[in-house]
Amino acid sequence: MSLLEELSDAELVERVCQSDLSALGGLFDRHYAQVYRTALAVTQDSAVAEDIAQDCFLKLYRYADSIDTTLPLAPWLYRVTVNLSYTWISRQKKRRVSLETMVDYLMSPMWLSPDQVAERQEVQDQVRRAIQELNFNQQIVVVLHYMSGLSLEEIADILKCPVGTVKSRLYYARENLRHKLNSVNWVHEVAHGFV
Amino acid sequence: MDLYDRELDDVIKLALQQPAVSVQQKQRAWERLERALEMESPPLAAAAEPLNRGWLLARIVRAVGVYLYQLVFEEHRYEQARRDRHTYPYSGFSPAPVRAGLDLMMPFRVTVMHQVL
Repeated sequence: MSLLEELSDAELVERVCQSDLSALGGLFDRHYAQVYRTALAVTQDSAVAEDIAQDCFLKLYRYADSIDTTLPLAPWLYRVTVNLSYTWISRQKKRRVSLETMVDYLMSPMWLSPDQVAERQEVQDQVRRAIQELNFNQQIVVVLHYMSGLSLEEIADILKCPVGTVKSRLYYARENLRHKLNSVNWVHEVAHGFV
Repeated sequence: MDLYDRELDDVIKLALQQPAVSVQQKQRAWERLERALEMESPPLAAAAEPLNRGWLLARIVRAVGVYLYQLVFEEHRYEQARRDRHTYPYSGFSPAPVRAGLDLMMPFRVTVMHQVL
C-alpha cells in the first residue's frame, strides 16, 4: 500500500494546499468515479460529465485551502458536482438528450431474449426521459438518493437545505415519475422482472 | 393500475444504473486534468507575483508625482497655461454694477475675480 493510500482525505487536502499534485492524484483516484457518475446521471452526456468531473477537481486544487478538513470531503465534491451540473443544464437552451451513449453502457443479462433486452432498454429510456423532465431540484435529489444511495440527511447537507425540503422534493419527484410512467403499460411487467 | 412504491424504486434505480469507470478512463481523465493544471499555472503564478504589481504601482505614483511637481513648481509651464487662459465674464442681477470674471487656466488653476464698476 502506498503512502498516499494510507493518508485520509483531510491529510491529502492539506497536502493539496501546498500544491502537492500527487496528493490531488490520490483524491482523484478515490473520488473520480463518484463525481463522474453523478454528473453523467444528471447530464446524460458522457463528454459533459468528463468536463464537469475535471472542473470539479480543478476547483478542488484551486480552493483546497478553503475546504474545512474537519468535515468529510465527499459532500463537498457532490455539492460542486451538483452546482456545475446545474450551471451546464441552465446554459442549455434545449437539453441535449444523448440516450444512445447511456444505452451502450447498460448491461444486458445473457438469459434475456433479444426482445426482452429491447423491451428493457425501452423502459430504461422511458424512465430516464421522465427523470430528465423533472425540474433540477427534484432530479438531483432522485440521482443522489437512488444512484448514489445517500440518505435524506446527507442530501440535505450537500444541498444546504432542510431535510424536510429534500423529503418534499423526493416525494413530488416520485409522484411525477409515477404519473408519467403509469401511462407506459409495460413498465409493470419489466419492473416485476427486476424484483 | 398504479405503480407500486417498490416497482417505482426498482425502475428508477435501474434507469440510473451507471457503468463502472474503467482504469483506462480514469487514467485518461487524470492526464487531461494534469494538462489543464499545467496550462493554467503560468498566469496564476504571474498574477500572484507581488513584485510586478508593486513595480507597476511605483511607476504610476512616480508619473503622477512628476506631473504635479512640474505643474506647481515649474514657472514656464504656469506661464504657458496662463497664455492659453480662457476668461468667462459673468454679469449677475445686482443693483450695483458688478462684473465678475472667471479665469480658467488649464489644466488646474482657476481664478475668480469681481470688478465693481
